[in-house]
Amino acid sequence: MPESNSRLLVETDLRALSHELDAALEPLDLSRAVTGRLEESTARRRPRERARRRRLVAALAATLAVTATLAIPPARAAVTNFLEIGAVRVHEGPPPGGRATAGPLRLGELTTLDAARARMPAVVPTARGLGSPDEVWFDGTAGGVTSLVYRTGPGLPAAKNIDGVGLLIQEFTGDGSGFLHKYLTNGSRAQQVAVGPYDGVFITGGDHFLAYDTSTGEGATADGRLVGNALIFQREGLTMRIEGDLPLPRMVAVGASLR
Amino acid sequence: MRRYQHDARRTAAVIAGVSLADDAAQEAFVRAFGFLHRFRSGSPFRPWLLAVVANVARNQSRSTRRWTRAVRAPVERGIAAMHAPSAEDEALTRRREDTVRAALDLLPLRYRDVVQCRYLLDLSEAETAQVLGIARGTVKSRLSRALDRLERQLDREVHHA
Repeated sequence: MPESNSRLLVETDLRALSHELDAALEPLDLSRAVTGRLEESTARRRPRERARRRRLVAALAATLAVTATLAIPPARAAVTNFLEIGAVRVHEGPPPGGRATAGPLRLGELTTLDAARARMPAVVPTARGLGSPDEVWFDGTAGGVTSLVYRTGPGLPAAKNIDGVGLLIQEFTGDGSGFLHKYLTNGSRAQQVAVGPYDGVFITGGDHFLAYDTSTGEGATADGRLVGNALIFQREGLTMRIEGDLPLPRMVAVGASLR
Repeated sequence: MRRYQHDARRTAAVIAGVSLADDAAQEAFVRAFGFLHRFRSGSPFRPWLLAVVANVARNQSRSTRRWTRAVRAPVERGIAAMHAPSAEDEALTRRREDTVRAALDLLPLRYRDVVQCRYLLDLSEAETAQVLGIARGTVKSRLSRALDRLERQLDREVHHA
């Protein structure tokens, strides 16, 4: 049999399986059940969101009163449960289940800067000493995440827990909802910083645990990993996360130079 | 919602199995509502929604269960109730379907997902890319490799038979 006919036959067979799938699903209208659940969840969410805002405002007010450069050690967990910076939510304490171990780097698909920019408004650092990124990755979940990878080199020591990478810049099309979770573990702490005109948080002092949300809102802690220093801030609809073993002023300079 | 629920249930069934499909689809609609602000206006809604469904279904289905096993019993019941052309024809058809299912189950997950999206869910290349969160070119290359493998596997089965 010629190859093209063989391929055609396979495709026909696969389409035939599709009918089996339809036959297995009995007719059902989900709309009533879904509407009921949405009404329930709306009624529940209102008081919860008010409480969440109260916690956040209390945390920021308390910390600002202490010092302009704010340290939030794990011991002060009573002050706040989390901070939210754009798409990133910083939690005090370990992730659910207490799991905080090293895991793989998941950046999506290797691509080009132009291709990433066709899908979201990605920016690159113009700071001195940093040329074009060695690799550009794109992950289509949650509206899009572009990752710029700079390999280790002169003035760019290896970032902790990522082999051969000196700097990782991730850009999320987040709009204030938690998409990426950071759990302050192993003595890590969050420090409030200014990145140009934008407010940000620098996480340092030890490895912290990073976990991505699924696009449905569940933190995928099973795929998380341990991270060293990281700077997070939000600018013009993008949440930026810069990871590397660089001192704070250098990290801030890189962040402020993103264009 | 009624417009998309058929596709949502099919997607959930392919990923989580028929028995979990309705729960997963229902959960996905609730979550999609909560995450509507992440939807980019102007872009197609169906693949975005199906990506949410796929994620929910994947989370709910922690086992390695595959839809091909899940649907087999109900389908067999359906076929038994139908007027079959002949016992021999039915046996041949059944054998071929079993072989295709088995070959599909042997594919690595990354290939199987693409095949299922394209042929079972009838999604376009672009929709498949969005639902699976991969580039369109990756869909194309994975599909090509998957079909090559299926073709070889089915040829082997035919010769063996």
